[in-house]
Formats: sequence, C-alpha cells, structure tokens
Amino acid sequence: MGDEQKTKILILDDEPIVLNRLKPALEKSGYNVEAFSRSLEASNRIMEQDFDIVITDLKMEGLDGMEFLTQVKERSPLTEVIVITGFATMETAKESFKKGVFDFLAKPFKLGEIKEVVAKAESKIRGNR
Amino acid sequence: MRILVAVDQHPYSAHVVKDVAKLAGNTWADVTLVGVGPKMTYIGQPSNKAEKKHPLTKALRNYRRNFLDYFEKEESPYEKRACNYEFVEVKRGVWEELYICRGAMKDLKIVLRSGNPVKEILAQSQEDDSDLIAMGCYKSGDCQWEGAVNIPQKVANNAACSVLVIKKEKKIRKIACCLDQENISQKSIEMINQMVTLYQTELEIVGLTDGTALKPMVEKNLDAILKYYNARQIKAWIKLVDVASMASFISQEARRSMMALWMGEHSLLSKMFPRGKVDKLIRGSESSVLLLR
Repeated sequence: MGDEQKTKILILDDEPIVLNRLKPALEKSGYNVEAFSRSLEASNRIMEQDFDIVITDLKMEGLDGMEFLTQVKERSPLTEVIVITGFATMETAKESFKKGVFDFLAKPFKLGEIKEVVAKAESKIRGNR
Repeated sequence: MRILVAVDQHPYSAHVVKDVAKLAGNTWADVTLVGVGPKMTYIGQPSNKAEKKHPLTKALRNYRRNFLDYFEKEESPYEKRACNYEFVEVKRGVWEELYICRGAMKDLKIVLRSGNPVKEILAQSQEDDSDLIAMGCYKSGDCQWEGAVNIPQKVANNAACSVLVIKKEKKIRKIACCLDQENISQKSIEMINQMVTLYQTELEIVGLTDGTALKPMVEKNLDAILKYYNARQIKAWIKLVDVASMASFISQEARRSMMALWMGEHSLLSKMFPRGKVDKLIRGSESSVLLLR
C-alpha cells in the first residue's frame, strides 16, 4: 500500500521513550506515523495536514494536551483522537470525552492495548467514509 | 491500563474494590474482579440459586455493584449501551446489517475460578495481560485468604506484572519509591504517577548508594526523575540510602509510607530483597505495598 493510502497517525508525547516505543510499533502495523515531542511543532503540523488519528499525551510542558485536542477537533472534526496520559484523573477523562475523544488510555499500557484501540478507530473512520 | 482485582470474602477486599474504583475512575482501566473458590457445579442457573450454591458469587456481585456505584451512571465508562441494527463493513466494499450491542467503553468483568488461589490469580492475570494486580490484606499479621495464608505475598513474588497490596483504611500520605536508579523502567514510573495522582501524596524517590560518590550517570538519572516530577507539580525529593542499610530502611519506612519497590528482572532491589523479605514487608507493613515490574 502506498503512503498516501495508509492511515495517517500523529503522536504527541513529550517523553521520547514513549515515542520511540509507539512509532515503530504502529509503523510495523502498516500505519503512516509522524511523532512529535514538542506540542508547538505538532500544533503547526496539524495546520498543514489532516491526520486520520491523533494520539496525544495530556500533561506536557508548553501547550497542554487538552488544548491540543481542542485544536485538532476544531481543525479536523473527523480525526479520531486517542488520549494517553500518565497522570489520569476523573476530570481529565470526562473532559476528554466531552471534547469528543475516541478513547482514553492511562499509562502504563501494553502495545497490544493501544494497537487494538487504533484498529477500532481506523474501523470507525472507514465506516464513516 | 488493565487491572485485575483479586478478592475474597474478607472486609479488606471491599476496601480494595473501593480503591480500585477510584483508580479506575481516573484511568478508565479495563477491570476484572476475580474470586477463587470451590468448583462451580451448575451452569446457567438463575442468579438467586447461584448465590446459594456458591459462597463467592454473592460477594463478587456485591463488589461489582459497589464498584459501579462509584460512577455516575451517565458518565460511567462501564455502563452498557443500547442494542441496534447497524450496517457494518464486514470486508472492503461489503456491508452487512448486524444487530450490534454497543458495549460499555471499558470492560468490567467478574470471573470465578476454582483451584489453587495463587495459580488461578496468576493465570487470570496472564490471560488478561494485566498491568496491575490489586489485592487486600489486614493491616498487620499474616494475610489470611479464605483459609490459606500469605496468598498476597505469593502472588506478589510470582506475578509478571506490578502488584498492589492494599491495607485497609490507612490514609496514604507519602509514597517512598525505591526505583534502582541504574535500571529504571518506564512502566514503573508510569505506575507510580498514577498512584501519586490517586492518593494525592508526596513522593520520596529513594536512590541507592554504596557510600561512595554517585556515578555521573546515576546522578543524571535521579536528577532527570526529579525534574520530571517537579515539572508536573508533584512534591518530590530524593533520599539516598546506603545499600547496606536498605533493608532496615524499607522496613522502618513501611510503617509510615506506602512502599513502592521496583522488582523487575534487572533490579538490584530484587537481589537485595529476596522473597522472604517481601513476605515480611507485606506482613509487617502498616501501609499498602506496591511491587513494580
């Protein structure tokens, strides 16, 4: 499958160790993945290009993940957003869903768990097309 | 996150379910409540008959109800959704109208197993691919588990994932976290983060020293961890403890703090703190104990 046909995923997490684990795993599953550790760069990127799926951390230095989520949904309402967070609270979970996230995953999680969620999001996107 | 809650009929299990509900409220984890008891001798009996025939079924159902009661129905990720006919793309370009029951966003299941409690709890954890096993124990003395002793210790020693042994009704004010700074795993830091958020505690990061100056790499690691927490507005500090006095430090600290020990495969702590000492720690600790992997 050409890169243009692949499901496009953007990952934003300020912990490089998370990106180093997640990006190759999702690429291996056949996705076209771009990873960012700085929220400003990710924010600029979503202005240039629509992504099918965005995976974002919440608690980051600089632009907060919740603000980023809002930006993504405003720019591209059909993008499915998956929140991953190391400091989960009931409030952030509720707020994320109010803002229309596809799923909310607290760290630690296994790669299999996030791959399952990404596959479900992809299936929903295909169903909407 | 996937959490396995191992329960029996002692009151501490109700407390564990309460704490895990709070954790699940934060993390929206997939949760399994597992009980291990005598073999089931019936299939598909109405619920009242099942409760009479098996002592754990009633307890498990009560725990599930208590867990769900923690959430407001409209906002619960465990609430079952309605069933409807929906067109589903079964293969590319082929759509079939199927009767779909949209499940809850997250799984909450109860499982009853029979056999050796330690083996069954570990087997369920493996089947679920759990990130955490939570179980209860009385504040002091042996952990009695449905007639068997020290089940939490045995599970803690043999699990492939992290294990949280929760002591009843003890307010946790501080987590003392012994991470083995040369081999810190990301998973263990992430688990600590969720615990700090859950219990709203301060965090003491315990570093190991052999009495000489710290290696530059170790110092860098500890500094990075501290900065990580400070950037996230968590009150954290570093305490260096000599390797020789680590065991006595842990047993003393366990009286006033929740102890978190990283016992992963390459952990120096797992060598310094063999099974017998883990047993003793869980038995003697007045607070909860978290073994990280």
